[in-house]
Amino acid sequence: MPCSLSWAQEATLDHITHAFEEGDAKALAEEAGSRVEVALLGGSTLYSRAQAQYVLQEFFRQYPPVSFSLERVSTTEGSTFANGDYYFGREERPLQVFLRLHPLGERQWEIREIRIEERFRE
Amino acid sequence: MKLASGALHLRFGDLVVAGILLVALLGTWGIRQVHVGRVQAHWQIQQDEVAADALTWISQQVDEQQQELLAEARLLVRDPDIIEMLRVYNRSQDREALASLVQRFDGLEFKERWSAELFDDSLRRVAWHGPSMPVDADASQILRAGSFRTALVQDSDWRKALAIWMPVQDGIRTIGALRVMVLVEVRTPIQNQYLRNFTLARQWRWDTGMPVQVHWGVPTVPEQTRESQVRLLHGLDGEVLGHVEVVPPDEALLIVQLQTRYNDVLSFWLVLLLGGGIAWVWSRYLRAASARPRPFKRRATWFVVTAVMGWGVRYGLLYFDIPARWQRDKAPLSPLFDPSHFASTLGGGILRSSGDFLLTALFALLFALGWLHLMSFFRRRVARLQGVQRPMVGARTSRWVGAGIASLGLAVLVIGGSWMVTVMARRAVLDSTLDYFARSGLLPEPLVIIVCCALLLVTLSVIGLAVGWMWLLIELALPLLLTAQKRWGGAAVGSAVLLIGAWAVRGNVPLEGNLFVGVVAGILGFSGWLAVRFIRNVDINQGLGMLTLRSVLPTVFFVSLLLYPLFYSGVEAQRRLRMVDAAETFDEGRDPRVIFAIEQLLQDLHGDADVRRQLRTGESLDSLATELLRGSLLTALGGYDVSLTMFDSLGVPVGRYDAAEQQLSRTTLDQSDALEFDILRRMYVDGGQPSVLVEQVTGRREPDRLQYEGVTHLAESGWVMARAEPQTLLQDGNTPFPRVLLPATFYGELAASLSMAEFYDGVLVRSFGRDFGRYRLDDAVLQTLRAHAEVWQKETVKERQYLTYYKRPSTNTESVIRAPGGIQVVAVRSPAVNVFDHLYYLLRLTVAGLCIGIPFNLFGLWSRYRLGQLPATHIRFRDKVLNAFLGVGIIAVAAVGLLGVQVVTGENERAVQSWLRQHLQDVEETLVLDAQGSEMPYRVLQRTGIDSVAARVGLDLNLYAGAELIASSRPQLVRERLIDPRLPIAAYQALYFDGYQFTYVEEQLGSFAYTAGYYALLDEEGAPRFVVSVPTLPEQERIEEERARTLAYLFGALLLLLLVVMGTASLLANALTRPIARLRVGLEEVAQGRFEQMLPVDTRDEIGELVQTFNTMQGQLAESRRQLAQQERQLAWREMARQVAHEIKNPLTPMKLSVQHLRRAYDDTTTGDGGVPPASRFTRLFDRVTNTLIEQIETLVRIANEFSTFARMPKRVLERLDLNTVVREAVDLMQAEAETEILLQLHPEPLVVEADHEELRRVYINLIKNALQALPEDQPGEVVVTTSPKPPLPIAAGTSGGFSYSTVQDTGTGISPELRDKIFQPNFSTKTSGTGLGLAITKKSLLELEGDIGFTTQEGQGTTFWLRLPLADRHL
Repeated sequence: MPCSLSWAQEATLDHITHAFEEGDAKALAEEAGSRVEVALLGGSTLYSRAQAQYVLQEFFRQYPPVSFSLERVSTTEGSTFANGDYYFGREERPLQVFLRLHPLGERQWEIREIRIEERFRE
Repeated sequence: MKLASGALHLRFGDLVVAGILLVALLGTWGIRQVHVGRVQAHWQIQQDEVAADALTWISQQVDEQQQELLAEARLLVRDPDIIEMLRVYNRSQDREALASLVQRFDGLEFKERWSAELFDDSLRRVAWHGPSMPVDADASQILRAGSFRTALVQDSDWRKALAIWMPVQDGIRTIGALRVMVLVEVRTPIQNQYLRNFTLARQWRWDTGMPVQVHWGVPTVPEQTRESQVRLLHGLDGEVLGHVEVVPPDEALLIVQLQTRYNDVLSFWLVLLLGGGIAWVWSRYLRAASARPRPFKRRATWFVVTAVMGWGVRYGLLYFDIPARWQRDKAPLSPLFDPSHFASTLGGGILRSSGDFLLTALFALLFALGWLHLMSFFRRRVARLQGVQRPMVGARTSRWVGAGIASLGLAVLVIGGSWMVTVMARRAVLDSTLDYFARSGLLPEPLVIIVCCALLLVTLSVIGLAVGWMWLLIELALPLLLTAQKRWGGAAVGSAVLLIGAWAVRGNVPLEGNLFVGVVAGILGFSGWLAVRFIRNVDINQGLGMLTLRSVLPTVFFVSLLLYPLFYSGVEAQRRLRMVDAAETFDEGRDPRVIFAIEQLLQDLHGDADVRRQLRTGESLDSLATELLRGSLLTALGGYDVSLTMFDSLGVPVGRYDAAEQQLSRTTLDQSDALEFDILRRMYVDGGQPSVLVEQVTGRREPDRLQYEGVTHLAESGWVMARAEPQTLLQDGNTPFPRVLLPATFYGELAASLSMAEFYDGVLVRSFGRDFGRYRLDDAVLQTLRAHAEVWQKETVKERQYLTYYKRPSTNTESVIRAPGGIQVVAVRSPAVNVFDHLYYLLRLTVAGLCIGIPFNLFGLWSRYRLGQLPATHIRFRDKVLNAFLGVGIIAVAAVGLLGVQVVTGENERAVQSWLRQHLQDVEETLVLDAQGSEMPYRVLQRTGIDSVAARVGLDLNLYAGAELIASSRPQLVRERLIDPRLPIAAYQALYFDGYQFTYVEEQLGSFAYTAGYYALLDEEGAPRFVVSVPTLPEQERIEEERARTLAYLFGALLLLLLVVMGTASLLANALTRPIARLRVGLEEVAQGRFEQMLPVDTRDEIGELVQTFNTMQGQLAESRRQLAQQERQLAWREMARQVAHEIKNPLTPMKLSVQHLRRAYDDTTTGDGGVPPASRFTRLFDRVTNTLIEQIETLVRIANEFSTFARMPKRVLERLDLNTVVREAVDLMQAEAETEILLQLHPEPLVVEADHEELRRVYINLIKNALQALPEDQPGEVVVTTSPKPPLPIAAGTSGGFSYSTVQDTGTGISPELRDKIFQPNFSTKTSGTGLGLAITKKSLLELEGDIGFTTQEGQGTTFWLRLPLADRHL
């Protein structure tokens, strides 16, 4: 489904992409809401922004980034969804990253959900 | 050995240690560089080695696991009882033998995930223990094999187990087989706090530090590459069980891992070095603190250096990730540093995990203790200043300014400290996933205890800082406020101003205004009380005495009480946020994530040639569907029933894959499916054939809930339609969905803990949970919502308190389902916290605080024991009473608590069992009601089916025939292996062998424990034909909640009881000890000769009688003393008169003789004797006689003066004197005349007494003179004069405090025993000259000054006179 993004959405997604590429948990957490659901390879927990930063920092430490690319972005029911592939270490099979962003007014978006799952299909 | 090294003052030992550490640090770094260089040069070899080591280690793990299984198997197959019973059973199907085998296996104890099964000679399972697994196809071989066999057993996609088969042999004959297994992979359909996937591969990944994949049951090995290395996994019998694949680290990762290991060691040396550095700086501070004179500036400088270094080290530890780096991934301490439990960005990362928080709190405590040590400088000055009554002279203005600045500083410290504690407590809740207020027993979980302890330590540190600052303020302000009234007034005014300041800044604090002011007041009050308490000279003994349980417990409780509202505020904020989130998600039941997930799922199909081919050919569609769904967001979200339907290019269905059923059905679609597809296809075509079309439609099972459908067309191949339908809360059996089976998603967790409802135009249209019972919304609430979009309300529903959040969605979007124009309201309700809950949570916080308090108490015990103070020689009566009450209180509370827990738990279990039995009996009754004629219930069941019965009784039911599960009202749970398809051995034994018709078994679903009931339906012979079981899953939660709530209330009440006991103890102890204390004071007065003070009789008990008797005794003593005094006076007068007469007679006799001689001489001058002229003889004689007369008259005058001095009542001028000064003056005077040096050992601090300066000096002059005179002339002697606030040994026993003591000691001849009683008598003297009144006058003076005098003597060695005088401020 084609999707036209506002510049705010694009800016947020750029920041997110850069944060994943650099493994910068702090930058990623800055884009998150005060509470964000984080699911890392199963399970899912609601964290505060501060806690999510450290959880993601730990994730990047265990799975240091090699590259990240956003594959698909769409807007549904007022929320923006994005998914991408996260390559780490020497693994050829990337992890799938799902993001849900929620609008805060017209000029700002915040991450409400980050899910990182194993990919089973090429 | 000390080596002074300039200003460093380093000891030799310190240098050696520092040197060793530096060498270790540099050496480790050097070795690291060499090792890293070597690895860089040969990294491929290293890589191979690492991978080979990992693979070897994994193989060893598999072998070890098999060895364990084998050992267990051998133990069982060689058990003679098992062999015997199995033989008997094989021969004759003997029931007793079977029962014995079943009983034997029921009694086995295995580790988690283990199981064992015994088979007879026909490979029929006869006994088992643990989870069931299918029998592998070639199991029959074991009966022919002579020895064990390994196998990999698979139970669909859900479980895999490593198994050891072993034949059971009776001699050379094989009579059966045993299989012992351990689960190596367990997948659960949902993930939550109870249910988690388990794979050995994940565990090995943590252990080896590299990606590991285990392919069980895949005997072929892919090609080895540099990117991955593979090894086969063999059974102990050589059987290939599968293969393991590891991805070795690349060069960069190898280097990083190697460096990390060395860096872990380097960081250890660094910590030791930094610790040594801080210790050295602290020692410099202590040196500066003990130097004389003691300028505060120097102390403060070194303290600042220490503090800066200390906090620098703390942040340095953070930077180097110490100590987290040493515990990463290693149980049991790794959760301490796991940010998924707790992590806050507050303070730049010093709170980034529970462990870091605790470490920071310990640093804060050390800082506070150091600060107290520094500020004790002012405490001592305050102690000295306490007695000063003279107004300050000079520098008054600067002192006022200083006091003002100090007050401001105190305000900043207290308010700032309170703010910091408030923010920390709030973040501790909001930045964590810990459940602080769980109803999980008396003891919180360990991480909660850690965080609570950290907060308590930080609070104690803030209090410590405030205490130290208060000493400074008191030292500055005390001379400006001379009277007690002024001091209390100043304190009150200052506190009021501070609290007003706290009120003024409350807007910036994330806490309700009143609460924050309360916290500030609490910290201020407690700090003030401690500051004043410690001002009096508190030596180390008194300090340690405060670490008793009597002091520690109330302190811990008070600080917990202070912290509790802060905690609760955070928990309340968190609860409200959850309720707001829940309202958002409950709104219309929309989940836009699902739309995106379906889009992504369908779009992934485009461009995939394999998919097209499979669609065209229809081959391997189930594996296609599995792969599509596995790992998809749709599956990850959970909570939805997902199905994929595939169509050929003509739109004919080729198969439908149901994710829940995990199977592909090739039957044609039913009518509604066909209709849905048709509509979607037309919409797809009409929409211009986008790649994917996704729509929301009304649900099939629940029309009020939306479901999602998406469709995509793969050109020339066909169509794929995906549907996601929310899992209904009312499943097939019409029973509520238990929490244990809710996925751990955001939506799942919210759903589990709250009740939600949706109203439209005030009418309930949808609800979840038990707490919304009314079908109409309160009109008042509706009216409020018309004006406000959100309302928070505290409500009482059926005598239970709730907090409810009402929200009117602002968009008020037109609902697909509802008629437009109405007002929609979403409500979320949560049970309110009542008083007993508060008490319970406060108790848990206090229990956590005891983890700090008890170590302090133990430290105090150990220290007092080391100082020889235990067992104590003297215990105050009040403390004994308090100890007794405390002991009784704790024992009573503990006993009631333990008993209560037993009773409640026992009652709960009985209630559960009773419930289970009742419901199972209801099942039987239902069957009986449906019976036709004399049809047995089991036949009715056979006829009607389990689903129907389950629907009628409203319960989940499982049905067993023998030991096998044959039907279930929740077949999905059976398929997903959440319910084991075999009867538990305990139930099997009870029902089939022990003759019980009903039994219950404790079962486990993941980590969720529940009770299942089993009921046997008997056949015509009275033997069990079927077994019906009821799991208590949904009920278990309610039962557990009730039990938890009851226990919470019990513990809350126990805390109240303990507080009442402590309060009563304190009041009673005071009431008992007050009259005793008054009695003691009265006795002391009597001992000092004062009989005037009559004690009031306050009580009408034995203590009152004792006081009455004391008063009577006192009166009698006073009378006796008066009589004695009178007699003594008479005796003294007689003695004095005798002495005066005797003394006067002495000079009178020579006077008389002289006069007689003069008269004779005068007579001689008148007669003449012819030789010497008579006038000149008379002249000479006259001269001699008059001289004699004058001498004797002077003697009489002297005698008269001395008697006058003894007899008179001198006019004293009392003033506050430093005893040391008076002693020095006396010594200086006497030293001028003495040949021997008089040594002084005076107390370094002033000893202020109230006396006449001249009189007191005369006392010491007299004693020193006596001492000097006692020294023998023919050998050297010594006179020592001492002063002290403590009594010298001879009078140590029974002496109370508040006196000054001095001694005058000589090494003279001593006093013989016969003279000792007369020393203080008037006119007693061992000297030839003198009146013997000196010591009598001295004693009289001291007694009149409320002091005393005594002596100890040893003939030939010397005498020591001791004097006691009351200090000027004894009674303050």
